[in-house]
Amino acid sequence: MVVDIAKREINVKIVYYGPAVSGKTTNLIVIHKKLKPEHRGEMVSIDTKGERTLFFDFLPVEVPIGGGFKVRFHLYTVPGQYFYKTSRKLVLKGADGIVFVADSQRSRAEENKVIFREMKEFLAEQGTSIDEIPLVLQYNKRDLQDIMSIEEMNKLLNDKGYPYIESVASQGKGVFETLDLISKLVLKSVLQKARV
Amino acid sequence: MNNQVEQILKSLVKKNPQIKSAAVVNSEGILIASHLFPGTNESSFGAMSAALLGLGEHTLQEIKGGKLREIYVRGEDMMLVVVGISNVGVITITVDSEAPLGVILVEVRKAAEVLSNLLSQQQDITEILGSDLSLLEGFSFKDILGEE
Repeated sequence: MVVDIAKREINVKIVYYGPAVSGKTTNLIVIHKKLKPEHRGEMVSIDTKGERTLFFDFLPVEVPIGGGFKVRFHLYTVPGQYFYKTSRKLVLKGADGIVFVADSQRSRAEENKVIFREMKEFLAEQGTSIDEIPLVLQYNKRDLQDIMSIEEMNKLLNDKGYPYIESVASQGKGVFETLDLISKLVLKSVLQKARV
Repeated sequence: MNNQVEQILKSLVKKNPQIKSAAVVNSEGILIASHLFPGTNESSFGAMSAALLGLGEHTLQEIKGGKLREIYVRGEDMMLVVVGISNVGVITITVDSEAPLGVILVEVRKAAEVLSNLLSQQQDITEILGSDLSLLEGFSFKDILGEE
């Protein structure tokens, strides 16, 4: 988090993490498309020729909070392909909050689990416990066939009772609910730290 | 703090007209301040700096190369140089490919030293919001959506 007193601005970093093709970039595309242009910057993608994320996607978003103050959210995605492990670790560094975008299809269960475990390990290496950082699980692709039930998804990823949102990011469903929730959790965490 | 960072960048570019753009990005990848050539996209410039910082640090870690000092990307027309600011971020500049880099780098390294102290200072959120921290609790992204 970076606080800019002169500009009355608080900068926070939120990372969309998850396995390949789970819908992380789609979340950012929907946010970029639907927000008024004055509240978001250009979306920057470092991707491959096949349009898979190579390093990250980045979208800055600005929200007025009253009294002339604003919060600037720096939204990042990570590349989901397993071999881009190092890139995921780099992008995760310094995150103030995480959205884990899980693919609800039964065939992707193991991949969700592996990438979630990896994220916990990276956080631990960076000196952050997964219990300390604001985290929202987004169960995406709820419109597809052969998806796991919410109970199964929770059993797979959510033994600690993290907040979760069901989504169909490609149709925009659940995208802003997720962003609203993670933003509030991040700001709540910022407040708690400030009040200590 | 960021105003001071902006002033340092402005003065650096003024003293060294060969510098076309300059930006400071912290170690989390957040753009702190920039002074960019007209037409340069701030988001892209900041994001590329953050990417280079991450890759540079990781590469050095792999080869046991110590702290990041500099990264050079030289094209036919322009050159981009990333200069480390202790452990707290980087300053990125672009110059003409044939510009006298030695002289410019002396100035950029000096600026990096000053920035190192500034960026290390912890800012307190209560200095912005005073006691009215409730401001942070009542917003929604739905209030800033455009027309479908």
